[in-house]
Amino acid sequence: MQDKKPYRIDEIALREKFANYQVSFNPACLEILENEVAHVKTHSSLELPDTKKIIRFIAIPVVLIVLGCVAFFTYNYIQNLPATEPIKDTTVVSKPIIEPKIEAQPTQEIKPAVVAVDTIKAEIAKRDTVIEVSSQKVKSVAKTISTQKNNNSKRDTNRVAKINSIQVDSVSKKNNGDTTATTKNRDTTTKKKKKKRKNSLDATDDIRQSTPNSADEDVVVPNN
Amino acid sequence: MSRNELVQACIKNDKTARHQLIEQYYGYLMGMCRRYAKNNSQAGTFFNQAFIEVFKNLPYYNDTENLDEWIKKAFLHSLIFQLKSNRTEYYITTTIRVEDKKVNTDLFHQTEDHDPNNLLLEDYLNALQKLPASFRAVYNLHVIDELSLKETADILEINEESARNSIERSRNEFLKNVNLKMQGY
Repeated sequence: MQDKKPYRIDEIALREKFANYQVSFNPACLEILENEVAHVKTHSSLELPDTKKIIRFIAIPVVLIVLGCVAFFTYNYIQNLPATEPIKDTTVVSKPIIEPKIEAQPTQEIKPAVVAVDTIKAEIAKRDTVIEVSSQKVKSVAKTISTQKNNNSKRDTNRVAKINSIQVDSVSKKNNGDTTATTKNRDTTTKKKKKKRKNSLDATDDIRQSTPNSADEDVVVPNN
Repeated sequence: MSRNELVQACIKNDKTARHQLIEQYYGYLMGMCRRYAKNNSQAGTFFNQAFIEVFKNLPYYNDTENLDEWIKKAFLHSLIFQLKSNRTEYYITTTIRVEDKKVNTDLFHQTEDHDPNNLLLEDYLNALQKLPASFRAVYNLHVIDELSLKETADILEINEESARNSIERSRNEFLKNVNLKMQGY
C-alpha cells in the first residue's frame, strides 16, 4: 500500500517561482508599443467632467430646446404655406332671422257716408247753418273734385258725382287724422243731417229747381 | 538616470526614456501578463494596453511612491479591466474538459511519484492559463500577487464571500489542471 500525502500545491514555492519569472525582452514588441504610445499624450491635460454629468446637465436640455425649436418652426412653416387649392368655404353663414314686422294694420276704412252734393248745396243755401270750418273743407273738397274730374274726364258724370262725394268725405276724414274724431263727426253729421233734412225739406225742392244736379259746376261757398 | 528622472523624461515624451522604461520592466510585467492571459498572444496585447495606461497615468505618479509597486498596481488594474471587458470569457466559469479520457483526479492524496510541486514553471503557467478567466484573476490576485481577500474583492468588484468562494474553486481547478499536466495531458 502506497503512503499517501495530502495532495496540495505549495503556494509559497509557486509564488516564488512566478516572482522570479521573467520573459526575455522582445524588440519587436517595443516597436509595436512605441507606435501606440506615440499617440498617447502624457501631458496632464484638462480633465473633462464626467460624461454622465455632461449628458444630464447639457445634452438633455440642449436636445429638448432643439426639439422645441424644430417643432415651433415647422408649425409656423406649415401655417404660412400658400394654399395650393382654393379653400372650400365651409363656414356656415347664419342668415339673420328677420322677424316679421307686425305692421300696424290700418284701421278699417269706414265707408264714407254718402253725402249727396244736393244736400251740401242745400246747406250752402242756408247760410245760418253753415260753419266756416266746414266751408273750408268743402272748398278743399271742391278742389280735389276738380282735379279728379280732370283725371276722370271720360267717365260717366253720374258715377263721377258719386265718386266725388265719396272722396270728399274720405279726404276730409284723412285730414282729421284721428279716427275716433271722424266717427264722432260722422255721428254728428248724421244727426245734423236729420235735423237739417227736416229743416230743409222745403228748401231742397227750390234748390233743385234752381240749380242743376251736376258735378261739373264749382261749389261756391260764401265767405262770411 | 534615476527612476524619477526617467519618469519625468517619459512625461516629456522622451522616446529614449520611454524605451528604457519599457526594457527595464518588460521581463517582469510580461511574465505577469502571461499569468493573467489565456495564452501568450493575449499576454502581448495585455502588455501593450497596460503599458499605454501606465504612460497615460505617469503625470499622476507621486515621487514618494515606489515606482515598481506603482507600475505593478497600474498593471494589475489594467489587466483586470481587460479581462472583464471580454464578458463572454470572464463570466463563463465552467472548464471544458476532455471527457473520454479518464483522469486520475484524486485531489486529496498524492503519491511520491506524483508530486505537484515538482513541475516546471511553464507547466504551472499552462495550468494557470487553462483556468476560466474569473478563476485565473482571483487565483493570481490572491495566491500569487498576495493581495488580501478584501483587496481582491475590491479590485474584482465583488463581495468578500464571493471572493472566498471563487478562490477555493479556483484552487481546486488549478489543482486539477496541474494533475492533468502531470499525467501528460
